[in-house]
Amino acid sequence: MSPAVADLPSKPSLLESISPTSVEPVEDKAERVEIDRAMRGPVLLFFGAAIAWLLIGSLFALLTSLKFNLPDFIADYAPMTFGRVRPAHLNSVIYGWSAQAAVGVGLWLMARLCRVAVRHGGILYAAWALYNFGVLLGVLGILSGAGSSVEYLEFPRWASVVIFAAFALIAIWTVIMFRFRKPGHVYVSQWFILAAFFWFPWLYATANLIIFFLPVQAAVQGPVNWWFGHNVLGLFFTPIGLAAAYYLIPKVIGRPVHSYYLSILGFWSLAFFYSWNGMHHLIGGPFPAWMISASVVASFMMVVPVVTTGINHHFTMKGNFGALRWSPTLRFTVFGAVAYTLASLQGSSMAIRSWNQITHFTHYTIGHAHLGMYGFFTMVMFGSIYYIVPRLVEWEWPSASLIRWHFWLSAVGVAVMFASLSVAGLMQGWALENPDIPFLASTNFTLPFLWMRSVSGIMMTAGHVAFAASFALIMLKAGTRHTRPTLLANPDEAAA
Amino acid sequence: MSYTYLFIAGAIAAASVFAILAFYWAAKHGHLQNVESGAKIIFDDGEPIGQATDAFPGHQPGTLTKLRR
Repeated sequence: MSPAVADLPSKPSLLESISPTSVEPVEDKAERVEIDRAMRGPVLLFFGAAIAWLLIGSLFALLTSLKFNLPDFIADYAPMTFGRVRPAHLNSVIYGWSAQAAVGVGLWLMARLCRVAVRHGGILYAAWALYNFGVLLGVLGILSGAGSSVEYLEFPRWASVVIFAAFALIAIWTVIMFRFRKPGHVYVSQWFILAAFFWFPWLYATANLIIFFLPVQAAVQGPVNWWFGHNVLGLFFTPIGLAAAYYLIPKVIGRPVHSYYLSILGFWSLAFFYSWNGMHHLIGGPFPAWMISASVVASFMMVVPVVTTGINHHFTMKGNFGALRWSPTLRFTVFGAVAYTLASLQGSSMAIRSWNQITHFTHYTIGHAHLGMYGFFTMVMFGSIYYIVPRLVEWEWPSASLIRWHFWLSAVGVAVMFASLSVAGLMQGWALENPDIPFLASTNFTLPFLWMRSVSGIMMTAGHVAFAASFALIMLKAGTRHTRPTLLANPDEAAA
Repeated sequence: MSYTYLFIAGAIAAASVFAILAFYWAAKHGHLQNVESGAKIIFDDGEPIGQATDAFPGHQPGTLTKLRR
């Protein structure tokens, strides 16, 4: 332990943390190791649980996808029917995998960037236990038929209370760390994380309160639903994904962000514009025209943070794209950053009323959602975990081959899924617009593409199994201890 | 029911108010000045600019000279 860390009170009271009288940063030389060791327990628990939910969610996804082509497949057992398995998939991967990976990455980044000794780790252990209990309750609630029909909020209300309590603990810990940070500049990733951990409990509590606990009129529940549904993507998952990308890309290649000014502009424009976006899901619905129009405008204002981020990442990487051949972290993260630009610009285009009329209520929207949540967010989380875990475990990834398989199965899988669902959605949308085409025909057009979706899902699930195997092996410290990082290729050969 | 609408309006307004307050705080404390220097705070003597860090702690990937700064 470094002298500076040893000087800190070993267990400051919560009151002392909320109102600190002094900030004692750890020494530069030892701070990374000290912070990583302090964060090891909670971050690895969040990652481990996230990966377990990823596997469970993937199985629900496969079952859901197969039921499109084989509607009688396990159809006689109520918990495994489409109406329950589909929300079980969505909520397993959103709250079980994505949110927990986001929390693990966000907590580690916050600790690293605050550069002070970690305190009150017990809060995080309690939050982890509570959170996973909530997700388990929620998924079992959905399978037992107690779930709601509100998208992204299908968990029964008793589970949502537990999840909110867990997230409140995470938010409290984050605020304490931020309050105690080493004096100096607040890095852009800290802004994103702090905002995300504030936004999520606020969005989740507000939406649950006014849809389930103090329900507003039915007509108002639609806007509340999509205010939450879209914001949880844009004001929680997106900031965490961008926080990771803005830290990892410069760190891996050893080069500062191309334009830090643009990154700051990107954060504040996201903060100001995004919360209006959700109403574009209700184009054509029985809602005030001004509300929809404001959302369409805000959707296009999102081009500002998206383009600034895309330009910034591209010019930060410029000249170093060769590093994608050897760095696992960079390969996943840059894939995710490119998908972020594509998914966001596609999302803005889908707010155009005439285009929305074609794509809404079709598989096109599902393809878009997977490009954003998987192509962007999940891939960045994979890259982050590949960077963080060896530093926590003090052991290297045991197999470059498993990482390679993971990358290609996930990347090709999500690309095939996006392409097949986009084509299927457009055919479906144009068919629905044509009064000469019977409704049944509009769904029959899509059947071959839905088989492709299932195949792509099998590829992605296989990738997840490779990822889980890597995680299990590194946790067991399997194999011989490497003296070099696990890279995908020899950097010297890759550069030649 | 009127209280519910007030609650909704308050919840939505709170987002903007917090964003504005955070922006004011950031400006007041100098986080929007000399921003380009802020990009370098993630580097230090142990992991300096120009050094790749996708490596096991304590070991270098040996690609320092291959990377463009």
